[in-house]
Amino acid sequence: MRYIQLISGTLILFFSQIVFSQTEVIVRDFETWSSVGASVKLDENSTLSLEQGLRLYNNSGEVDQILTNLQLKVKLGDLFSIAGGIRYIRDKDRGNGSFENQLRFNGDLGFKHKWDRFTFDYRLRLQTKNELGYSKDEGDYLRNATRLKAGIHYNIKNWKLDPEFSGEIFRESGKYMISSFNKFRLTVGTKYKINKFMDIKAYYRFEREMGVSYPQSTNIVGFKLMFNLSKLGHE
Amino acid sequence: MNKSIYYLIVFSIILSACKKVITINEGEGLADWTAATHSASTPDYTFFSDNEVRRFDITIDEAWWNIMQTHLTEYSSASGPDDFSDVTPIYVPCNLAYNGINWYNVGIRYKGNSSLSTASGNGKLPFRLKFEEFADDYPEITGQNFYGFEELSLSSNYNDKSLMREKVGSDLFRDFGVPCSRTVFCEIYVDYGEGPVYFGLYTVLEVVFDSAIKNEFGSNSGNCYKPDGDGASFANGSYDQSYFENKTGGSNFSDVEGLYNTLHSSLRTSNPASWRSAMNSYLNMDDYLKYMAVNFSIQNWDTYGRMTHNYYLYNNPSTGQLNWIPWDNNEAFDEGKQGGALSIDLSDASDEWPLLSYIMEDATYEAQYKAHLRDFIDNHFNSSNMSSIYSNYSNLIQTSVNAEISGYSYLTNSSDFSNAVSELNSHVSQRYSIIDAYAP
Repeated sequence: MRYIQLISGTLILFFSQIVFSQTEVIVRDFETWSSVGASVKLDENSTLSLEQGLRLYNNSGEVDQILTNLQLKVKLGDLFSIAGGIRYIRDKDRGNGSFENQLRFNGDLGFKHKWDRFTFDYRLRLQTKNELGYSKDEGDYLRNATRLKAGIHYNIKNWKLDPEFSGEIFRESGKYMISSFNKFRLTVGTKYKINKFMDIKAYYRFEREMGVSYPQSTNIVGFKLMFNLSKLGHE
Repeated sequence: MNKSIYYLIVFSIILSACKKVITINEGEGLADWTAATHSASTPDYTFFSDNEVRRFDITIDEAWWNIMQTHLTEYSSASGPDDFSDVTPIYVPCNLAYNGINWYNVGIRYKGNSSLSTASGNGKLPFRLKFEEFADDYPEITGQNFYGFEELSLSSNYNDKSLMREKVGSDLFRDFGVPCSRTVFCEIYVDYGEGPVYFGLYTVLEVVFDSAIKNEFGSNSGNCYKPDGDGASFANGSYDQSYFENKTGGSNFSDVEGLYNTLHSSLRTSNPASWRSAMNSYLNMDDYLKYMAVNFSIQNWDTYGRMTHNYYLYNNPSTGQLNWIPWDNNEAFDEGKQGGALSIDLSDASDEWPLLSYIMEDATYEAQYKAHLRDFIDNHFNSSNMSSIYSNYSNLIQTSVNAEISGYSYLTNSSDFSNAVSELNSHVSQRYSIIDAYAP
């Protein structure tokens, strides 16, 4: 009996010194991104667009981001274009569930050319994002990203749902952080012209984190409804 | 049949796209991780040995090291020494090796105030280690600690050519029954991309709000304040919650506010006995008077009485009393700066420091203070005892001190260390005579 007490006492003492920790890590999720917007041609080469977006995460069951995006795009000849945008983001902190207010600015340089029925387009985007209401003294610094995107579009004869495919890689940088490629995206989709004022784009996007121990893969289904106000005006 | 296969394929695609959560066990994939070394629930205090010099080998990615330096430079130039402590240096990940065992992606940052802002050109700077800081980025280190210690403070022994003031000061407080962090000497090597560089002999301290209060009081669930700024003086009209950062996260300041109000209560002059009773209900006065006896014997000037920082107040949940915990004792055993150390009778403590002046105006407290002084010099702080301690520590760290290199040392020549130890011996002799005369 004494031996049993001694052994059990020793085991209790041993295990009381040890705390086993486990952490749950999300390595895959299904998200839905939807947006509705309108664009207007300011002149021959300039287009202004405004979009309102909603992104859902956690198997598309919870709001992740609500965003408003304003962008001006200017064509420079047949091949090149530049664009500038500003985005207000209401972004959920997935850790504590609260929403942060963020502002993002981006500048784009685009290049597009055609070959037979193919259209190739490339985009270099520089963007910077900051949380509103916090200063750098409180540890809030600009987070910058350099994004390089390459896409291909094929025009199928007598077919309205032409396929598009694109790949994009993100390199994040910022004050007091090490610049690194932190994620990539692969997107396949199509655009359907409902009428001359309206079109809808549907896509599937695969996104994967890079440079972390347990990268998350995200499957995204997206819809984008756009109104062309210029056409409406001409009508 | 064909329809079934079609549905099965669609169902499989949807299922494979859905959310997937995996469970990472602590230390998963980390070769050196053991429960005893990396996730013990109770601290192993054998680490804080008085008879050994430890060695830490810290490896920091060169890019992260550069970021640490940039942050330090920008903030130390943007802020003056007076408000430098308002800025918390950033943590970067490092690898810590101790006794051939590795700790992974440990958070390391600079710490300190004057030791950081005025140590221009000297790379021997104080650090703080936080073992679970980067658990969000590296889930496998969730729960990581160092033999039960979640954080460690690495004091650079700034402005101390004996390199033992931090340790001896803490030891004396503890030996006299004043709650204080445990310490151990430690050689620090840092590899920031150029191979291991000897940063010199440091003193490693346990962090007050991590393990020290838990070990001392059996719990760390009470409020643990690190007062800093004007309010930390408790001078009349100075109280504001913003001066009392609560390191254990509580938002009820009634304890420290009660201490302030009681300290300035009219009871102090109208009914001293009631005032003392009320004071004791907020602050463990006997321990505080012991603290005073030690602090002013050893001329620990860089704290309450001259500076509005370098102490903690912990509310022990089992008594409801705040307890005074000294911190950062590396400038003790010295006449001091900023007006110098206060005299032993504290006659030069103005009402800007009421936790000294009001106490000394009360005959009962003054008598207790004197009794503690007597006890302290009879049993601890006398030449016989201290010369033995100084000699032992001197022998223990001599090799580590001799190995310090230019650019990572506060020593300027080979005799600095022995001279500083001699000064410590002279100091205790002088202080004994002064205290002996004041508290016969």
